[in-house]
Amino acid sequence: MSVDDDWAAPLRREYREGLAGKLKNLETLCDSLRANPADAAAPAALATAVHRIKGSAASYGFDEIGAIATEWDLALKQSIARGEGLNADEIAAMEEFLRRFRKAVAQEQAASL
Amino acid sequence: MLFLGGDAKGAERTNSSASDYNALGMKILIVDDDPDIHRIASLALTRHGQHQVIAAASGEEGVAAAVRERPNVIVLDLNMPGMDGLATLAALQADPAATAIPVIMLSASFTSDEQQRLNGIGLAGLLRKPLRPAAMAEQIEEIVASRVPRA
Repeated sequence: MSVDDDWAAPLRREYREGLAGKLKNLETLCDSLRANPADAAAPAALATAVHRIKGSAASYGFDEIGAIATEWDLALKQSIARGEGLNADEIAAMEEFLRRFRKAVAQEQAASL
Repeated sequence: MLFLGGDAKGAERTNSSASDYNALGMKILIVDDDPDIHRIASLALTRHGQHQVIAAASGEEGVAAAVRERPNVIVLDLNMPGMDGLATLAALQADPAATAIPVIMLSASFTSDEQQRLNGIGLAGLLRKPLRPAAMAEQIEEIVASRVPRA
């Protein structure tokens, strides 16, 4: 059985509706990263948000979004482990994750119409 | 310790333990800082196991709820801001009112280091995110049943 079954459909719909807010939060956190790439707190805040999505998205059946968050979470963990803030390549990688996340959210929203 | 992955269907039930143990209608405490996890877990466990679910959003809330509610089992997120899963587990184990309650650790990732660290610290089992809502009740029942002494 998947979460597409009727009993979970309202929760799945609610989660889908919340994706725009999650995306907005990630965009804000990425803006902070861009503004202060050497700030160790910015990647940690982004990592917390991404980790939550990693844990929840596929639980609601949003596998593609969960997969992007899983990759993103790993990249952030590796960057944070260096303890030096993010370098230009890592910032660019974050931008790419954000772009993929935005696209996946748009696809989910389009599919629900 | 049973390790039930999010993609797994769950460990096979052992007839002697699970069939003799009525795991329906347990009181389950979910300790996780993510409200999305509370929502899906609560609905899944209520629907598929007729369980009563109590939600706590932090380690501190979780310990207080465990002492107050005396659940049959606690599902505890490993990675929480502030008091994380390990600190919460230690607090539960130190409290005489909660120390006997089986604890299942929940995480989106159990690295091999983490699995090693979690071995031998008194956990009843590990459960991996993403949750598989329809299988979650059975996975938790399996872990709890495996701890019931056989006649």
